[in-house]
Amino acid sequence: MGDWLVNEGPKWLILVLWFGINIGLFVGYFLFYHQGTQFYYLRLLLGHGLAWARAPAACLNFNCMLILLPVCRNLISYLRGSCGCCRRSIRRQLDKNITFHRAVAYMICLHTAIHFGAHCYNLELLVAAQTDPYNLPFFFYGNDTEGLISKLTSLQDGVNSTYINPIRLSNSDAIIEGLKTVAGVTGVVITLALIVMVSSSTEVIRRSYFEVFWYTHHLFIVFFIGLVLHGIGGIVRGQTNIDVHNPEECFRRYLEWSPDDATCKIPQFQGGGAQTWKWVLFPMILYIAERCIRFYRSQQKVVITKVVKHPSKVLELQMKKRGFQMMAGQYIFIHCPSISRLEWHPFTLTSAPQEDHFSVHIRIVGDWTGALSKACGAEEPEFQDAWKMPQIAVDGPFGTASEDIFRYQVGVLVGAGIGVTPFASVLKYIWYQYCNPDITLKLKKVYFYWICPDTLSFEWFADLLQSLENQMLERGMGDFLNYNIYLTRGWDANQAKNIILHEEENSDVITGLQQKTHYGRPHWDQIFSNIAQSHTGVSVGVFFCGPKGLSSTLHHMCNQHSSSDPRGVHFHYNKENF
Amino acid sequence: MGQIEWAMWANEQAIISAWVMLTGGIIGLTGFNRWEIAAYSVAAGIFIILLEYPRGKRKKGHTIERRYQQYLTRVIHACGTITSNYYIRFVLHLLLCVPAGFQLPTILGALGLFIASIIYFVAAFHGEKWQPIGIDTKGAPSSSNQTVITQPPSQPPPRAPAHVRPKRPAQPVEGDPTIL
Repeated sequence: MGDWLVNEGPKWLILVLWFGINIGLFVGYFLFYHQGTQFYYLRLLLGHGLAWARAPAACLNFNCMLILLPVCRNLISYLRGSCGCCRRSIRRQLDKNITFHRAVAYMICLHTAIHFGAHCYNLELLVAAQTDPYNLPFFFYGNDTEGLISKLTSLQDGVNSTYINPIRLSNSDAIIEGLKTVAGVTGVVITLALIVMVSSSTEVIRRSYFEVFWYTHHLFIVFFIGLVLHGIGGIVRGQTNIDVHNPEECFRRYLEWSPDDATCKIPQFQGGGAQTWKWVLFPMILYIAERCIRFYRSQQKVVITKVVKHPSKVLELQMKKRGFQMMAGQYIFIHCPSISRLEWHPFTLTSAPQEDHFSVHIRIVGDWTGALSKACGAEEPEFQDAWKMPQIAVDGPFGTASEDIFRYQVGVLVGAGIGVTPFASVLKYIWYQYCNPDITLKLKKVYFYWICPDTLSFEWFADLLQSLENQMLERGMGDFLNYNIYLTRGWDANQAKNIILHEEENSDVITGLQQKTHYGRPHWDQIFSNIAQSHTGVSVGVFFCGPKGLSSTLHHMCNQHSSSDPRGVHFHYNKENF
Repeated sequence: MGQIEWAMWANEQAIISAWVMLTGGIIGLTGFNRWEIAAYSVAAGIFIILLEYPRGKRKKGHTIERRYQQYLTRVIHACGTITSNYYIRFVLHLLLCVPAGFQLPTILGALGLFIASIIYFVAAFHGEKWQPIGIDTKGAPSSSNQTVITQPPSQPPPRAPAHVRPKRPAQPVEGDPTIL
C-alpha cells in the first residue's frame, strides 16, 4: 500500500483535484444561474436550459485554460529543472503531460456537447417566445406564464427599457437567428474545429499519418480566436436593476410595470460580455513564448558529426550542439527545415551523458524519416562531405532521466522491440557510472531483457551490447550486466539449422554475443522467482519500455513476487516514457 | 505527403460526425420544430456508423481493427463497389448531410459529415479504395512481414527455453540462475 501511494498517489491526487475543480465549477455556476435573482426572468424564458448551458461554459473556460499548458514542453522542462528538490515521484508527473492534455480534451468535448445541447433548447425557446408565447414547445414546462413571457419578449431598447430576448424578429428560424449572432457563428466554427481536431488525433491517424494530425491540430488557433470572441455579443442577459424591481415579487404584476411604479419599475437587462479571455490569456502568452523558444532553438546551430546507416533501416545520427546537456533516458525533438518547415519529431537519445556528442537512432518508416535519411546522404554509397549535411535543429532534451535505477541494488531493464532505444542510453550511462572509480554505486547487478519480434532489428543494438561486453570482460566485471535477448518469431528453417549447428560455440550466431539468444517469449514467472531467490532482501527496480500488454504483465509480476515481509525482496515497477 | 491515406481520416471524421448527428437527432426529437429531420438524422447517423464502423485495410502496414468489426466487414465487403468506392461515399455523405442541416440540433453533425465527404473526395481522388481486413481479395497473398501474427511460429524454436532444458553439468555460470 505504501508503495502504491508513492507510485500512483501523485497521479491520482492531480486527477482528483482536476476533477474536483471541474465539478465545483459546474455546481457553483449551475447554482449561480439557477438561483440568482438577476436571472429570474431569463430562467422564466429558458427554464433549466440557462444553468445547463452556463455551467459547462465555466468548465470550458477552465479546461481551455489548462489544455495549452501540458503542450508547452519547454515550460515543463523548466518546471522540472526548477523543482529539483521535489521528490522524483512528483516530478515524474510532468512526464504524463500528453495524457493530461488528452484528458482535458475529452473534458472539453463533454462540456461542449452539454453546452451546445442546452443552447439548442435555449435558442428554440427564445425564437418561439418571440414568435408565439402562447404556443411554446412542449419541453417548456412553465405554467400560466404566457402573458409574462409575452410582456418580457416585447421589451425593446429605448428610454427606460432594454430587451431581454436577443431574438428580435418573430416568425424567424432558429438556425438563421443563431447564425446572425457572433456567438452562433463562432460556436459552430470552433465546435467544427474541435471535431476535426479530435477525428484527426485518434490513435490510428496520429500514429500512421502524423502530418495529418500535426497540421489539423493547428486549428487550435481558430479554436482559441473563436473561443475568445464567443461571448462578445453578450447574449445571456441578466437583470441590472433588481434593487428597484425585485422579480420574485413583481413577476405577478407584470401589467403594472412602469417607470413610475415605486417597487416595480421596468426591468433592465444587460449582457455579461466576454469572460473567456481572462481565463485563456495567460496560457496563450505562455504558449506564444513557447513557440518563440522553439523558433529560437530552430535557429541554433547543430552540427551532424557522423551518420551511420544500420542494415535494418535504422539511421544513426551523431550531433553536437553548444551548451547541450542531457541525462540518460531523455528525448529530443528534431526539425529539418529542408524537409518540412513546421514539423518537429521526437526521438530518444541513445548516447550517454558522458559522451562528447549526442546521438539518436531513427527507424526509417515514414515520409519524414525517409526524407531525412536521403538528405543525410545515407542512401549514397560513397562518403558524404560535412557541408552536404542538411541543416537541422534540436529542441530539448525533455523527459525524466532514468536515474532512479541507481536507487536500487538490482535493476531489471526490459525493452520490447524498438522500445529498447532509451535503454541504450541508460545502459551506457550505468556503465560509465560503474566504471567511474570516484562513485560507489548502490547498484550491484543489472539484468537486461530485450524482447524482439525478428532478427532485423538486432544489428545496431547488438553492436552496442557487444562493445559493452568487451569492455566488461577487459575489466573483469563480466557479472555486472546480465543480458538476455528473446526472439519471439521470425526465424526460418535455415536459421534454425544454423543455430543448432553452432550451438556449442561460444558466441551466439545471430547476435555474435556471449550470451545465447532465447527463442520464444520470456517465462516471466520463472525469471522473477529466480531473481527473487538470488537477491534476497533487496529492492529491485524494474524498468520497462514497450507495449501496454507486456507492461501490465510485468506490473502484475512485480506485485506478485514482492515479498510481504518488509525485509524480503521487493520489486518496484517503473514504466519509461517513449 | 505521398503516403497519407485520406480515407482513414475521412472514416474517423465520418464516424464522429455520425455520433454528433445521432445525438443531435435525439435532442431534436424532444420537441423541436421539424421533428422529421431529427428522426431522419437518427436513422442516417446509425446508418453511417454501421457503414463506417469496419475500418478499411491500409495499403501498407498493419491496420488496427475496431472491436468486433469483422462481422460488419463481411457485410460491407459483400456490397462490392457500392461500399468500396470512395467516390460513392463522397456523394453519399454529401447527400446525407443536406437534410440534417435544416434543424438546429443536427446542424453540427451535418457540417461534420460535409467535411468527411470532402476528405473522402480527396481520398477517392488519390485513387484509394476500401479493402476488407481479414478477407483475402483475389487470393492475393498478404505481405508476410507486415500482417499481424496471431498464430504461434510454425517453426519449432531451435533451442528449448532455459527452464525446461535439462541442466548440463558443464559450464556452470555462477550466481545467475537465469542463464543455462
